[in-house]
Amino acid sequence: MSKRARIAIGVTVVFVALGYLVFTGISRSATYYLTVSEMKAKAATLGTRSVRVTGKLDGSSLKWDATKILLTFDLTDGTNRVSAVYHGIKPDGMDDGRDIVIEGKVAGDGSFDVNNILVKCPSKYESQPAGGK
Amino acid sequence: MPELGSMALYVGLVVAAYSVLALAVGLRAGNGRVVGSGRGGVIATLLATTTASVSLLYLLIKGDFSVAYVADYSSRTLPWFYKISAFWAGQAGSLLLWLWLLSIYATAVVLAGARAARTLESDRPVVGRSGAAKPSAAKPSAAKAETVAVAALAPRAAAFLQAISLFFFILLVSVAKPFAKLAEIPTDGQGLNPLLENLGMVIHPVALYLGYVGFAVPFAFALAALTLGSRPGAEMARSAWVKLSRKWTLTAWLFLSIGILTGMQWAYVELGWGGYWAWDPVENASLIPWLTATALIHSAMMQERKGLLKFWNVALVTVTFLLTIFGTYLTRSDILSSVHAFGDRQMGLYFLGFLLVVVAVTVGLVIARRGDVADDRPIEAYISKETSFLTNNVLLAGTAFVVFWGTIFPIITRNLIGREVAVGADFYNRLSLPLGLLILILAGLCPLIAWRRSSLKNLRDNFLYPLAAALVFAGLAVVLGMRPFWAVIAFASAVFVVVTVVLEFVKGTAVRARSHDENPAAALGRLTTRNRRRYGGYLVHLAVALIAVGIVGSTAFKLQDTKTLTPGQSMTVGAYTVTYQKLDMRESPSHKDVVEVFADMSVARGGKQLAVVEPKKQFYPNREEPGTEVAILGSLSRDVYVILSNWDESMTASFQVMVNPLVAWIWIGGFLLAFGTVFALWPQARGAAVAEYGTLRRAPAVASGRGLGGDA
Repeated sequence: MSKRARIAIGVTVVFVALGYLVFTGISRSATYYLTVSEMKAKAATLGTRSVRVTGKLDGSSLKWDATKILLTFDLTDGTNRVSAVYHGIKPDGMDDGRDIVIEGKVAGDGSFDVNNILVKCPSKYESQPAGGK
Repeated sequence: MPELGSMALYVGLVVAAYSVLALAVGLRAGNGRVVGSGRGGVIATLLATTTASVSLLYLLIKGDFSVAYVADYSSRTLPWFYKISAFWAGQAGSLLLWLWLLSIYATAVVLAGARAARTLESDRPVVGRSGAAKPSAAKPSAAKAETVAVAALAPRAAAFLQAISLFFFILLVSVAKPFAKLAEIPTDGQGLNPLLENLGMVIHPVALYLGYVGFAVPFAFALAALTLGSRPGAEMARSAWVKLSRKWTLTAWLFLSIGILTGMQWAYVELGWGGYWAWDPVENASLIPWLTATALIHSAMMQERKGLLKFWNVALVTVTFLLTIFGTYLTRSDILSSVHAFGDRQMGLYFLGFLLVVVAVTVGLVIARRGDVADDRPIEAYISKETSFLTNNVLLAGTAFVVFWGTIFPIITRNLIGREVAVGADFYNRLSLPLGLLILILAGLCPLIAWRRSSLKNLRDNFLYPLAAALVFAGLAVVLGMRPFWAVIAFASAVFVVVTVVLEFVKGTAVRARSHDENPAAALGRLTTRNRRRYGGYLVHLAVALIAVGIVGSTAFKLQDTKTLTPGQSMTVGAYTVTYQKLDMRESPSHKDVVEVFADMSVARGGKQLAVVEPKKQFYPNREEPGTEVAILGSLSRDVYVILSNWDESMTASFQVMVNPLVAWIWIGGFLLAFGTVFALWPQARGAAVAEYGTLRRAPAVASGRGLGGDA
């Protein structure tokens, strides 16, 4: 076998291994991206699976319990709403009506146990009104 | 003024189209006058883009709110400094900045080409003044060969750069008009998002764009080399594209690196979540071309020195360029930032169309000229610089592939199964850890493995001490209880790289000091300045090891806690005790109209007070929500990072305190990386490297009859 062929085989092996890692990595950490209504419809089948849910923040529902370090708020998509529970401090930019992505699991009582809050826009520097166009 | 700007864009579009045509026709026909006219077109394009850019800047600073872009991103109260940065705060302005930079680069390329052509003209004997650059029969000097290659390639590369600029002109006159007017003129503009009012956010986008746009130049040179055909002298110019574009590639890489690092710094200081990298699609979009460009810098050396990997280099430079376009699009669109938000669909189609055209042109050229991308010789041995570079390329390209795949996964699943599936940070972390470790170890190994074939003795001479240092470090760390193990392995790998690089400097200096009878400082200075590429490269590898130390330390050993305190109470995180002293309010010293609420927090370690820091919230007049300003007490070993959250009337307030170890080394490594790259780019006297190299190596390497193949 020529050296060239062997090197080609080596490179191929590395890429196949990488492909395998990517494949298993994705199946382990894949999370559905859902709207509030989609999440509600699928809640029973999701189990303890981690999902991302997007919706608009209902500013009037936002509550902060300082002693428990507990933030609760509702996300809506116009038709449905979900109550989110987050153990941590409020990130910047959680204005009323802002698009928010929450990552976490559906809890037993139907509320959403949030691991991570992504407020849309921080990394994009479109200013708010223009960004929404 | 808005009319002038938008007219300049139309004029620029026409002139750029003309210059592409003139350069193409002139080069084909070998007509110097037509080529010259095309060159003039390139310069005229720069005039047009400069006029448009200056107009936009003027409008932003003056605050002409009849222009939609100005009303969106500028305001009366914005400091002038940020009015300038409003230029690239939105989509249309960013695209204009891209175009402006591109036309500056295109002009630099044509001017270099014209200068080379003039040099050849004046060198040539009076007889036989033909159009095409022809090398003389005698073997030309390296300098002459380079001049011939520049003269042949630069106008072709400029034609491709101008063709790329057409795409941006079209966007700017159709879907992203920076000078579009508003029907109703507002009394004041929206101003910048306060998060962007930060020095990092002024530098970051410009550096990133200088990097993105910069890769268009090596890409254009690669295509130019493929269009040379088999005319006389083409052979030499063709193989020279990697050498000629080296300084462009490195410059673009430098800016991209600075752009990424300033972005990380901004996220760390300004976004207030205690981290610097979230595997956000926009961040990934800048990392992926950085990875492929890093691979290119290494594989280009294989072509420059050995005539190897020619096809791979064309593929890498093309992919890097495509990724910069993809990154430009991603940064400015909504495609990945949220579910079901398609952003500007029309814009997406334009970009997709452009990417397809670029791929089609490149693939067509490569197929038509496939003989030009065949390697001169096979790789000779398994353990050689060639194979270590190949491994480095496979790993870097593999990492780029992983990040790319994870980034676009939601788009793929949206189109395939009609539902978006995203991958989380754990996907990237799990995959980038082994890949990053291997790349780090190679950063220590690669520079010292000989070209062609490396002997066991060569390996032992170079790597015995670094390996011993890494193992001793790992052993001690494990015994002293450092966990997790992956962090031990990562730190040990960094130790390996640092010791390897430092030893190279020490050995080289010692040899030179002895052989030239110089004092060590002079020997170090001459050694490095006469081998800039080599030692600049070592510095960059050292910088990568330092950055790795920072990333590993702050990822593996981060501590944090969140508590609600009343004044006088304290909380302890790791070795640090943070005491809440008081909460107060004042007008911001740096921004008028901004009110800030701040807490005085004293930070102590082992009973000794270190400092009082002030985390705060700032209230902007035209924003509903306050912005968080974190307080960071930094040191080389760790940052204490304090965030003020909510408070109530009784002054009871909630704080998040983090201890982030070794973060400072990321920024220190960043500075060293920039310094090393500039050091390697700095022009050096011709021939110095060749003359110096032999004196560098001690007997063993020379005795094997192969040497270590340095910078000859």
